[in-house]
Amino acid sequence: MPLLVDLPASAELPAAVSATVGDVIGLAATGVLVPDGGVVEVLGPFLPGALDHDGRLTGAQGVPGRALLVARGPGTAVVEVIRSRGLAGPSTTTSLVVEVAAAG
Amino acid sequence: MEIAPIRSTLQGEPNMADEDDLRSTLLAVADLARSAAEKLDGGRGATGNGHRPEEPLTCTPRALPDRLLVAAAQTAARVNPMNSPVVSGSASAVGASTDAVEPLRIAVMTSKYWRPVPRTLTVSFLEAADADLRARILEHMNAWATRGCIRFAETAVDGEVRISREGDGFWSFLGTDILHVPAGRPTLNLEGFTMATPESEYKRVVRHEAGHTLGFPHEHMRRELIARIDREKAYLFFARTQGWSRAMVDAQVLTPLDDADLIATRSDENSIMCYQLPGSITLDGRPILGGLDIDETDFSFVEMVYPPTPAPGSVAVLSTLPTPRAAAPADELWPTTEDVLVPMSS
Repeated sequence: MPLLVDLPASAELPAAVSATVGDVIGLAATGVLVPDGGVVEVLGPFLPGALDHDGRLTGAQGVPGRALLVARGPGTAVVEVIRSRGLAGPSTTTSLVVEVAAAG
Repeated sequence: MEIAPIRSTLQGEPNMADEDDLRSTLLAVADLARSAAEKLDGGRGATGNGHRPEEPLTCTPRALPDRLLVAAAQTAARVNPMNSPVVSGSASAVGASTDAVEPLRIAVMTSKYWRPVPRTLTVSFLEAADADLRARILEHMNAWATRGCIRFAETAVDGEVRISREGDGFWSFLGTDILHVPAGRPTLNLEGFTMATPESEYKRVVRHEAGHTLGFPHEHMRRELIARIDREKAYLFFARTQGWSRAMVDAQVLTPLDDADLIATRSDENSIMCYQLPGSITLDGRPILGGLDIDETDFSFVEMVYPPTPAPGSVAVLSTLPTPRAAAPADELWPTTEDVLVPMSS
């Protein structure tokens, strides 16, 4: 069964995570650099949204701050998790090793 | 009914052709009124746009047919530019440029400003916070209230503005959109703000997000500022620094707001609502500075949108609370041949 793991913004990123194909990891990031290779796919980053009374989605204003990493294939990928204070403000980049095992 | 003054105003001195036209128009109006009355008398049931004959008449908000929404939105914008649509949120999230947004989609977007009357928006904190921290955040949000009629005040219960410091990043829902956020969920996020956070960040971030809560969109998405950006350089810059797709860059940086929305006078790269952008992505090599605090142009704007003393008659014009749509098909209200299109000169 695929897992959905949501890491809060306050949590420090580990150096490496182990996942299985199909797992999804949510983490705080204004952007994520993912190498080619099909091991990991990044969705987002996203801003929070809300549903209005007419069924339309409305979004917050700001720099998107949450991304999803989807484990797509077995292997190892080193992704760069970026967090910025503004579009071009100070940013930090953290390397995260994602080891993905085949679904069993 | 006094019809001569109307005709004079519209067409100058009367003549026979004028009178014939006027007579035809009045007959058409009479036919329309008769037709409407017959429909009401016949009863249209609960699913129609009329009322049940046995029910008392009430004043029910009605919506224009979809075919008239674009024209109506254009009219509203001409009457008061503050009501021009703002391209933001879900529209920008699809990465569409303004040109790619369908006119009808724009028409149903409304500005998110509050009514320009004195108002206190209640504020609550979703996580435990010391009193001095809560007071400091409120103080900076209320920097806008020194020149405008809307202020923020803390409440112990679920506020209209709900602040979290544990979510990702810095953001706020726009103006009246906060009313759509479910209770108990944040409408404004100040990740990691503590009493140790520098005062400059309180000015830059808290006042910026409070501006969004007041309905102010991002200034750096003004058409004049976006025109300074080299699009290809922007795509490369954000792909390299954030891993963003071209669609994401379009949505976050390159989609201009509609012309009449934020500051009515001129674009202001020093606005607190403007992000900093580097000179490496501008056509002239100069950075877009971005605001570090509310500047005089911002204050002038808040005075205009939320005047300390409301201008007479401004309430009705600027009311932007969501307008209920009729549940039944509005297209049945009248045939398209009877649509009224307001002249551009109005």
